[in-house]
Amino acid sequence: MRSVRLEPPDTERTRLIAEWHFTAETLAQPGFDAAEVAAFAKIVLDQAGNAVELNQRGIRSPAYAKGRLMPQEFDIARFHT
Amino acid sequence: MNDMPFQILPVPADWHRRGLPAWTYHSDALFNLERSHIHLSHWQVAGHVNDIPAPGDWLGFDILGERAVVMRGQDGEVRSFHNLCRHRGARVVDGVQGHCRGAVVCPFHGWVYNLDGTLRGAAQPTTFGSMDRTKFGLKPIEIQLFHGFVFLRFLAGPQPDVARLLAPFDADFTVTRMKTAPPAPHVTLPTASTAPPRPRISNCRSGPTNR
Repeated sequence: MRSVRLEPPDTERTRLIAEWHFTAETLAQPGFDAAEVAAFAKIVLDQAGNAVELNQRGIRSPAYAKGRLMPQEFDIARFHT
Repeated sequence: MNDMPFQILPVPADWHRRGLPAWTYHSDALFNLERSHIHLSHWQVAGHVNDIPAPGDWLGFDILGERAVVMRGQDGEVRSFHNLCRHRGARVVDGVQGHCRGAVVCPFHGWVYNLDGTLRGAAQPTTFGSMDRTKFGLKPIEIQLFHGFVFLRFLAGPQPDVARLLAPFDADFTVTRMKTAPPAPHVTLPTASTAPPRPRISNCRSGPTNR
């Protein structure tokens, strides 16, 4: 199981802290490397972080007023409200 | 795909499709409202009790200017306090994780707290007159545990107890035996600071508790 914590140090930055939790049996499996699991997930998190930072820089443009959500983003609208 | 363990939400056909206005993404005023009305008044996960298996083990947890310490007492109970000495406001422990040997000694002037947060003694106690020690323990922070995960709340808020809030996921936590799972090493984004460790002048050391 992974727990993810999002903390905003200020208005435009977010600190993400992820922790992975495995059972003792999983950790004891031959060849299992918890650090390897976390390292792969970190790559994915880094990619997502880069995309979000790109978006934040775009939103900073004075020409941006608001977006238009696509149908599959209905849960984002729920989060907004 | 009928064997998914959770319900797939159907995409609603007709809704407003509006995004938030641009100013909300960089407004200091809105951020300050979110600080008090969302982040500090809602449950925040601060770690797992198995991060602090022994009496005196602690976790530091900072968020938006608040700072907490989660500590296991001599009695085995996990409690949380403001990381704030009642003398002059110094942090009583410094770091993300560590261990206090028998007591918490504030590094600033040496006030000593028991592992349950009660004040054991002020430095030079006679200079404080008739100060009631029972009123100068570390200030507690609301804490709830859910399958070993530690949740803190700095301000009263609208959410129910964590067990009720996360009840829909209770079976997932049970089947993965999260209550007994040892934590994996921490991975932090962005890259953790490379600043050298600060000198330690109390009996509380900072660092992993997996001794």
